[in-house]
Amino acid sequence: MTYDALNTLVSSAIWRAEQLDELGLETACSAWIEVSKIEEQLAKIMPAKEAEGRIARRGAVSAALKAKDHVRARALAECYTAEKGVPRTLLTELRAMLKADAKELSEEFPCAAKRHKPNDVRMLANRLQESGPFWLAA
Amino acid sequence: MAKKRAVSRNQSERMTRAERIDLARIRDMHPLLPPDMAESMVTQAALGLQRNHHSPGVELHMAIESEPLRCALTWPAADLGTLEQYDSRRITEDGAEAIALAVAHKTRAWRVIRRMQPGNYADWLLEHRDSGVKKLVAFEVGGTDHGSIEKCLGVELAQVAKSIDVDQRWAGVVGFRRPEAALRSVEADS
Repeated sequence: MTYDALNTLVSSAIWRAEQLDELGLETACSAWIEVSKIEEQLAKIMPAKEAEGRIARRGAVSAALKAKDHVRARALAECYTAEKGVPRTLLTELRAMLKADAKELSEEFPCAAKRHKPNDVRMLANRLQESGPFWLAA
Repeated sequence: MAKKRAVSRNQSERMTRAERIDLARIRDMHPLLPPDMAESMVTQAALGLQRNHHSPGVELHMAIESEPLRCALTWPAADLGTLEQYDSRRITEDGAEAIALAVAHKTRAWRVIRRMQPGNYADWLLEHRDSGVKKLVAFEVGGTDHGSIEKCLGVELAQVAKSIDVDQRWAGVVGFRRPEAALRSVEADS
């Protein structure tokens, strides 16, 4: 798919996700995942040294966070921060996004946050998602 | 004298035709704008204008970096009977986006690249060709049905001033009552 076509698709997907978000519908999450996936495609075409490449990388991570898919957000952020020649500003921004998300989680569950770190909880959730609930009993 | 007045009127009509913004052609101005989104935005703009008792061909008062301009604004007429099916706030906001994007193209030859996600301090990423070189413009848009566009412009400029990874940062505000549109850059405002 061409860069222009992906830009048209991402505009359309963002617009839909914004509308579903405004209505407070649960389907907003799947709409934001769609945004994240198109942003990821844009990031594959545009290198991080280009402004549009940085916008797409930030967009892929932030849309995954809006979709509450923290595993995907973290995986994308790790992938982008490991890229060769990634600008320092982008590294800082991606880390700040994940940090802000972790803070939000701690504020949402203050009692749990006293005992566990948000990253540990996310890792546990990730293992549960990958291995299924019987992993706990194993 | 009568002949002179007639010539003057003809010149004025020619100018009006040349200086017309037709919202029906928004995708000619911005080919990367998704068709369904463009259609919805133009319908909302039409409803926003018509509920303020304007008809296609109304004079749009513009201020680009404070320079006053005027032109005729036309659009495919909308059915006001359907007004209740729409969210009033979205009529103002989405309608303002259609008009602001059309004004941005008409006055600066900018084109839409993509919509930006919330949290990026801009609604649109536009492209500006400067001697063949592509420059990026962050564009934040606001609309008001009754209030002052100057106050609204200040709010939008403060927002877009925070956007990064662009060459220029601009805000555009549309007032439906007069109707009017103002576009200003953060650089000119500071």
